[in-house]
Amino acid sequence: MSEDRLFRYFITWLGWAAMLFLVFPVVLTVVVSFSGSQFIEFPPKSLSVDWYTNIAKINKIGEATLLSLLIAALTGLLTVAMAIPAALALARYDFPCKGAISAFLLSPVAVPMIAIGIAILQFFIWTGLPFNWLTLLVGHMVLVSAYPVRTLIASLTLSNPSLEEAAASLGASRWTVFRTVTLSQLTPGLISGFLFAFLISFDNYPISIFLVRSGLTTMPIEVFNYISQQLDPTPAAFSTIYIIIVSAIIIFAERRFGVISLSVKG
Amino acid sequence: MARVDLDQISFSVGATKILQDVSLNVTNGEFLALLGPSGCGKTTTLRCIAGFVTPTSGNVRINGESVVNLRPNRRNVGLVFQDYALFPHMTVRQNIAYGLERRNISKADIDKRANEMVSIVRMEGYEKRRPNELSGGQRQRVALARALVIKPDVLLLDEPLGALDRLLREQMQIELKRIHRELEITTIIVTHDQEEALSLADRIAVMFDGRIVEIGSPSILYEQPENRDVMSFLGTSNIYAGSVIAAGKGEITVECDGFSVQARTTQVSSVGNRTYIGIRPEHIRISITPINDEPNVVHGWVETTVYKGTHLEIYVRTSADVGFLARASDASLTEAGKAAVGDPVYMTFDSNHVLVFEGEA
Ligand SMILES: Nc1ncnc2c1ncn2[C@@H]1O[C@H](COP(=O)(O)OP(=O)(O)OP(=O)(O)O)[C@@H](O)[C@H]1O
Ligand SMILES: [Mg+2]
Repeated sequence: MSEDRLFRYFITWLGWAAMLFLVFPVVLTVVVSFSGSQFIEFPPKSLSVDWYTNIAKINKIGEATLLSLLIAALTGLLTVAMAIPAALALARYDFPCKGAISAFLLSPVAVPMIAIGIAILQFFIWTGLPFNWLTLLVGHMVLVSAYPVRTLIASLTLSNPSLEEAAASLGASRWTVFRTVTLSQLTPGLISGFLFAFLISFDNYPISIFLVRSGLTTMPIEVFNYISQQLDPTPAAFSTIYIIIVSAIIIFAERRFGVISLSVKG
Repeated sequence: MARVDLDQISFSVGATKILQDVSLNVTNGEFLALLGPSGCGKTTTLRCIAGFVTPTSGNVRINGESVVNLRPNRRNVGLVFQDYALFPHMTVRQNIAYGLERRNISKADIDKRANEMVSIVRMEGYEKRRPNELSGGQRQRVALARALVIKPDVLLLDEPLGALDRLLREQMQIELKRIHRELEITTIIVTHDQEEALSLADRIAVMFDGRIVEIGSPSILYEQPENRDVMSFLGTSNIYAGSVIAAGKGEITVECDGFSVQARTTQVSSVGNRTYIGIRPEHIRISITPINDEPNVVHGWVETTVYKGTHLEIYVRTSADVGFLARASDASLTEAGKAAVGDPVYMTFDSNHVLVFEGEA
């Protein structure tokens, strides 16, 4: 009985400690962004919003953020579109080498990003293709492709396959079954897959750094450049805005589609 | 409306034989129950008819035409799943109209037929609800309506009442019977509930281990089964092994463990044959006074009695440690009701009511 209580205390405190560990950097960033000091100090001695107006001083920040947004959106859309047939095949059908193919599709998660970056760089040099935003897009797609596959498989595994059979026996062709039944079952997986892909692409540094050339630049690269030259809290101000927007999107997606449960179970 | 024929279908996955030579002929407008224990292949048989399983060998015909090469959406089969499989993102109305919208039917006709079906299953007023806002019985009705509205050649029901409580299940059985009578649709219902099969179906096919072992009307199957396993699966029964000690014309005497029994049989039997005999509990009369003038009397002591409302169950054990179950209702209740635990009793039964399963010993 008392051992049980002890265990509960332990788990509860461990949980809170983990939460603190995760939340602390976020809180720190937000607090520092309102600091009045030239340097990053915590807790701040004075308050100001100057660093928010200073965001514009980050080199090419507008242009870089726009490109990052574009690449992230395209990466999300394209990888999700490609993941649908892959997930359908893996979740609904049996075929030779299924395990191996599944492991292969999910493998980018397990390979260090630097390794992926070098591999993609070598590949593009070998093909002789010019380095432009398309190469960047392909690089990001390789990096994030595993996430939508995972979330879509989770969605399909949770959905009831007899729904599709019911639709078929009511006269629906395969395509109609997909359009009218499967797709709506997939919605949480689609949304969370897109969000994963989008967010990972949007703030990716290690892959992008290998692939940007000739004036092309992304948001994380410019923020990193700024940090390496200046130590003021401008990046913290930028990050705070970023955190607020992303939190809003995730809260909306969870309320509307219940996507978090999917990524946890997946 | 149509007839359905299964011609010796077999289905294997790897080396496992799931269906073996299943043959079944269901006539126009018939209500057939496929009854058997869990895992015997009932669902697989239905899926062969619906087109989700392709038999390894054999043929499935609807109205005489082979359908084995037709995809499920071309078969015009109405299917009700055990878990209903209602589309969760659609309203009741959209669920019911789904099959109609897949066909070349005018908007006006879709409306007319969907409304008609809503009233047949008595779901007026619920059209705009989603499946998760319905009770189990209501979901069941919607699933039925969705399958029926397309006027399928055959209606397949996979344990449609399994998830309902007893009272609701009995109500739905009556509903199912009414709807079947109104629409005269060829229906195959899968169940492992023998009472459901007995009360619903025109004919019952009993399945064990991927084979159909016996087909017949509920009364024949219950009262005169040819198969010992069918007898013990349908209702409760007393079944004993024995050997024939006397064989006359139409009548044999079987010696069991500590008692002997006279039975009528049409089979030709000879002395020394091993055989099984079966007696339904309701055919055993209990007497607390000795009986001498009847051929079948077994003496024993009351082990327990269980009061079941409509009847009394009496467990009796003989001196050779053989257990009997007798069931007494109304008239005989007075006599049997006097028997207390430990009392000596005399059990009698008609030789007409003793079933003989020879060649199975
Ligand atoms: N695709 C499959 N692969 C392997 N085994 C299968 C497959 N489909 C069914 N089986 C097996 O075939 C047997 C019959 O299954 P089926 O679902 O037809 O049983 P059932 O009679 O409907 O049982 P229940 O009353 O429990 O629903 C089971 O032992 C099942 O494990
Ligand atoms: Mg089943």
